[in-house]
Amino acid sequence: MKKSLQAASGKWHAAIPRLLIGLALLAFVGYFIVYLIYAANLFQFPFDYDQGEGFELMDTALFSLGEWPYRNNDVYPFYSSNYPPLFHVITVPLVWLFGPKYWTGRLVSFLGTLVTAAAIAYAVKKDTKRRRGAERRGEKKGRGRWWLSALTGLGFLASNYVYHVGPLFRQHMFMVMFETLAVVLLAQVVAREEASGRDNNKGLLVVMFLLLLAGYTKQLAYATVAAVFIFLFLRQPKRAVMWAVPFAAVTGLIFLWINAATDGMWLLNTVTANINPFIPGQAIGLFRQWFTLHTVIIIAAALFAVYQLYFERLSVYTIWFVAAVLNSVTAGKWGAGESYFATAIAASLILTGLAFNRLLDWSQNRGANWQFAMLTIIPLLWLVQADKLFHMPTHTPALAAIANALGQPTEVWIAPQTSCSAPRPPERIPYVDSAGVSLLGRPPSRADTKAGIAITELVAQGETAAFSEDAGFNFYLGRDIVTNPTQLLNLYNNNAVDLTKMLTMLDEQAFDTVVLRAQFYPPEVLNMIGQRYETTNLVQMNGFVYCVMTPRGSKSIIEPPGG
Amino acid sequence: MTKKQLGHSFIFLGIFLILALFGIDLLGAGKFQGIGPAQKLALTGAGAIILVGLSLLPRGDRPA
Repeated sequence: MKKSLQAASGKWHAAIPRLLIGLALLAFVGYFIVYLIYAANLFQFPFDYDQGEGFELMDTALFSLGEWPYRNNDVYPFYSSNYPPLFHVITVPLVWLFGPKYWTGRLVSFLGTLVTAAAIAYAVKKDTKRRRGAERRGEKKGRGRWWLSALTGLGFLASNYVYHVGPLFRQHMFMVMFETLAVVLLAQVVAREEASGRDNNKGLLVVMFLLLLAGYTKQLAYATVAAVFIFLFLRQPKRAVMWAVPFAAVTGLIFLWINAATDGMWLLNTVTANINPFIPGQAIGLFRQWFTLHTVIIIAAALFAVYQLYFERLSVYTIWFVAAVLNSVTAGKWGAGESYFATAIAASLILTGLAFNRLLDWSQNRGANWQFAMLTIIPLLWLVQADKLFHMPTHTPALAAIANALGQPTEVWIAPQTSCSAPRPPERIPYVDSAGVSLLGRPPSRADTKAGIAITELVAQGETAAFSEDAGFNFYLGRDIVTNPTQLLNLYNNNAVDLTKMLTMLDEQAFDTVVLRAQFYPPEVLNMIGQRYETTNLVQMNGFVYCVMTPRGSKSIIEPPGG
Repeated sequence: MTKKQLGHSFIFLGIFLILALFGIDLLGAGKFQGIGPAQKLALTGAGAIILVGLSLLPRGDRPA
């Protein structure tokens, strides 16, 4: 009787953890499928989905012609970029082959997130193998807890923030990819060096190269650069300085070269134009949201960081996590947002994987009951984390049924964003997100594509390029890309742009159409548009009401497409 | 670097931050009379850094 009870109990001990691990994997694979659905929809959408995508496409188009995108904003077409070049340069071959299409950069960014997720999973898997290898020296190598590695990697793609931004034509996630690769490689290089007692300078050189790539993808990578050098300084102070000097020199020389090649426009547009006001409420709100959505991995990572601080050596992942969280404060800058937490999310996932590995190793030495407890609690924690991250488009009956079965709402009601037109009543949106009301995340629909084409048809009735807040309409028609509104506003706020020529052209009604979405232009420009142009059509796309305007006093009131 | 040295580094960093925060007032950069809300937050952070530094001192010569 006792034996049969023990056998039954043994079966449960094996079955319950397996079931919970299976459910956790199912949840995160589900998020991955949702990510694929969103990405596939975005790749087919030929206009701006997120503000600024079209300008990154413009940067890529300029690089594909061998031109710099760091230009004088004072003269027509009043365009410049405020981002470093690497992401756009990498996308250039796709533009050469397929033309300036939005899917090119969206695909590159999306692939970057997959590489980041794989690097996170690899970091956790290597740690398992190394620890098991150390414990069982002389025995066969440990297989690693593949399910834990898989959950940490998939956890990155399941983050609401990564989901929202990953498949956009934005360079941010590509920077996170280089940062993650640099830090994961550094951890391997240092572990190998300490195990063999020999310096691996070639490995460290690759780490430095990856950091350089991260920095020249987006400036925000400086926090990861700082984390890497702090870590090196803690382990080998002299060597850290020996590497920091040439790294700074190479970074500086590239900076000076680009600045000289662009007659100082690089410095103006990537540094001066990024000095934006800090909005404390925005930073606090985003920190709260980040913590609410990623509670489990943040707490696990923070506890493990504290454990390392007092009871063992600080790993590069811990220092990276602290640096990334501190740097996330910059999400409070005007124009910044949730994507600024992506590096902290990557670091917290690796630390969470390492912490859970430790707990599982520890429980193995404590007997079957402890092991059972840990193998039950850890997948349960992943399930709690999965629940907190909930986001799902519900535009198909199958997806709506899944959301319903999970006890989630199948739709939300959101009023379209209006800035240049009267408010509109809330509309049904087939997308649910625990991050709250979000304009990112809902897959663009056929109606959105039709709306974009309708705006291009209105622009096409004029002969000039549109003075437009989105680049997509001019791209679609093969016309000039005129202005980068947020860049102009940033420069205007820093007294670094002369708007005279632009105001003169608007005053002379040199543009046949003006297209506004969020009125990001400097106040003087908006004022002149208001005086010289009038709204003739309102078109709703992606939850925004676009105002299509034509010159006041002209008799050519634009007919709606098909009307 | 040892835990003790790391602790000293944190203490120096915290003290430096506090001095810098009051230095801002001396330069007239703050817009609030006395200690502003951002300064209060930063002072709390600097105090926390000093406390972490102090708590690391007993960890002695263990590698950081």
